Amino acid sequence: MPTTVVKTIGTSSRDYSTLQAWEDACPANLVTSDQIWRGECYNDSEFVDSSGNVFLAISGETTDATRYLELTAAAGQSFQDNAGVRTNALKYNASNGVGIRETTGYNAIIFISVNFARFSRIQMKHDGTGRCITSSGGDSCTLKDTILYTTSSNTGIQIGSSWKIINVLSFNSSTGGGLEVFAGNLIIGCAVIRTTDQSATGTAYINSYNGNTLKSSCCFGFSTVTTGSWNAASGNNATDLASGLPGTSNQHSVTFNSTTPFADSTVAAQDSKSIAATALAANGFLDATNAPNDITGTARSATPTIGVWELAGAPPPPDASPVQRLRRVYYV
Amino acid sequence: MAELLVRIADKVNEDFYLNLQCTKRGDVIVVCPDGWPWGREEVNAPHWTIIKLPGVPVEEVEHLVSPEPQTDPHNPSKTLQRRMWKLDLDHPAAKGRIDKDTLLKTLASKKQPVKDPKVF
Repeated sequence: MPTTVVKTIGTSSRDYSTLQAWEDACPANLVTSDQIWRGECYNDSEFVDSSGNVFLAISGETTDATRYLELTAAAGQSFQDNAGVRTNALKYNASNGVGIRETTGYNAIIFISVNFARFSRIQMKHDGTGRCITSSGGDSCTLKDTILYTTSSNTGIQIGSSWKIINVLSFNSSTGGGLEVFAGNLIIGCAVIRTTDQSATGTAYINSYNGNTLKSSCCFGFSTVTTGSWNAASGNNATDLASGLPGTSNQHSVTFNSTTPFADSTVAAQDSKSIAATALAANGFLDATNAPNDITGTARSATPTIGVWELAGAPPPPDASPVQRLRRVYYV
Repeated sequence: MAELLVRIADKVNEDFYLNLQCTKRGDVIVVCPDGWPWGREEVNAPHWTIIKLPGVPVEEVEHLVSPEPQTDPHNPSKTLQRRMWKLDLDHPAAKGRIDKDTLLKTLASKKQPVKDPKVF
């Protein structure tokens, strides 16, 4: 049984003040040391880099499926933990929880070449022209419950193989922001949104190879949904485009403007919470193993909302229990 | 103004290629502004030291954290090192007060490329 070594990261008397020092201190071989190297970020201040270099590079460590690096927010430090998480605007806002921001350059905020790493409960914003995450040889990682904000024509992430991308919001204020994946990745409960301030262009889910699965996710503001072919298990997705979603039970031609299907999709007032009574509601797919909750930690219903935001109080599914059927009458 | 977190003991992975991605003695880990609130382990861990350069802008030394770059994208090297630059911490000048000129003109140097033993 691996030992989880928890290190605190922040600018108020933590173990490390910088993300890179946390990584550099990690044992070179987590398998032989039998450890999980867990970094817990504190929102003492926004993590900001203005060098244009990669903010956090993770490479050189030996890992496996049970002994890996994990970067997350400490308890009470994530936007997920904010008392107003269900009412705050859903967007990058370091006041709400741990935020990691790069101000310039074309390098990614996080570059990873190590397998099995996990990232969760954080926010990332790139004010330059780079991506939030790039991997090269870093496979089988997990990115969960995370807000990404990019401001250039670059994609939000560009990753390799066998990642799980769960409840990730990728918002873009320019002509980029898509999720670029190679092979065997699972994307579930995600939302890729281009601001309505921009004309639709580009591809939302760039499938560089094959075997990827797109489930219960959505994309709005692009001119193309995907490239390449997807795993047959894909489905229950949504877009404003007339066609292009892989799999079955998809929602095409969903109306998209600044106030639907999200609260606000302008740059100035971004709020990517799903609103009620759109085709996103109750048309998703519940993956109880990988995505039992939404990006705020709210439990998904049996027929969840497509995307990152679960509409609490959504009507129960048609085959619900007697009690749920009574609730459905109540909702009607 | 800048403060540098510098490795003073090699991080070693037994795998040849992964080892190249581990930082070594003299590698700069991060560059932060003067007066940076370093964490407990950044100050106390035996494998690091902090070099303070009062009056030197971060922008003038942050190239020291750059990785060795790919020179041929069509034939990517597997032996790129984690840092392109290193500081010679064994140089006599490293024993005294280090200013910008000492750091950049005496201690800092570009690393030699590493040959891939599997490529002839």
